[in-house]
Amino acid sequence: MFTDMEILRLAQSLASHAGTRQSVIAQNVANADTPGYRAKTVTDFAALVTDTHGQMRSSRPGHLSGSSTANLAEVVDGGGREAPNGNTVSLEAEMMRAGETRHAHDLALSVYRSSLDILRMSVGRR
Amino acid sequence: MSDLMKALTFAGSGMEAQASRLRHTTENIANADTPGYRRKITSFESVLNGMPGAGEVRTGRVSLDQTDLERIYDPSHPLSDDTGHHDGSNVDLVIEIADAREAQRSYEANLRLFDQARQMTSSLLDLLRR
Repeated sequence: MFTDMEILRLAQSLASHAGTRQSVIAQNVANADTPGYRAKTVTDFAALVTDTHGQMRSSRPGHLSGSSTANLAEVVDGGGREAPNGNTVSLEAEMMRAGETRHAHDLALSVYRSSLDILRMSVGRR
Repeated sequence: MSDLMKALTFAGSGMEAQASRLRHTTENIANADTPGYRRKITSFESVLNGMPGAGEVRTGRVSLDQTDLERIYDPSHPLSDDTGHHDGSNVDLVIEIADAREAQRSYEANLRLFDQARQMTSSLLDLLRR
């Protein structure tokens, strides 16, 4: 655990992914009445993580080799039904996604905090 | 963190645009009985990638509704012509109220996301406070 702190890295990536997702959702909601605007979404966090040791999958060899935790979330078209003015944002769907994002962010921060607590305890500080 | 700050900016631009839409709707309602008044229509456009503030929404030019003005029969009115008619406004109160309600709904959605991004930022900063 102490050699490369995978769990902290994973929690940090999840929090940063949630941040990206939140900004995309805010952009969609701000443009909910803009004619011709296409809703955007971010690729799932699960798609970024392989099941081996929680290592991040890289889109290019050489990426993420060290301790860097670049955010690989890609912004893609969100699909959805088109309104007569060409807008594809659904406020309800965006609110659902905002709730999920909040949950993921809270989860990441809780994991981070308790891992830090364990570390503190193990070095004898309380 | 910078993404969350961007989320705050986006939500803020959305609130600003909806507020300006609500202002034009209010102007229309206030002038519903003004002779010759044409209702104002707010347009929204998103800032293109590569420009400062990309992805934000802003209000474009205000356009005037070009549908026919209502003809009102009132021979005693100073603006009346030979037939006793004068031009009213083309404001339909039902449309304006519906527009105002939609602006309010969008404003609330933006406000909620602003609040959520703010809470996410502060819980992130709480990690440092221990």
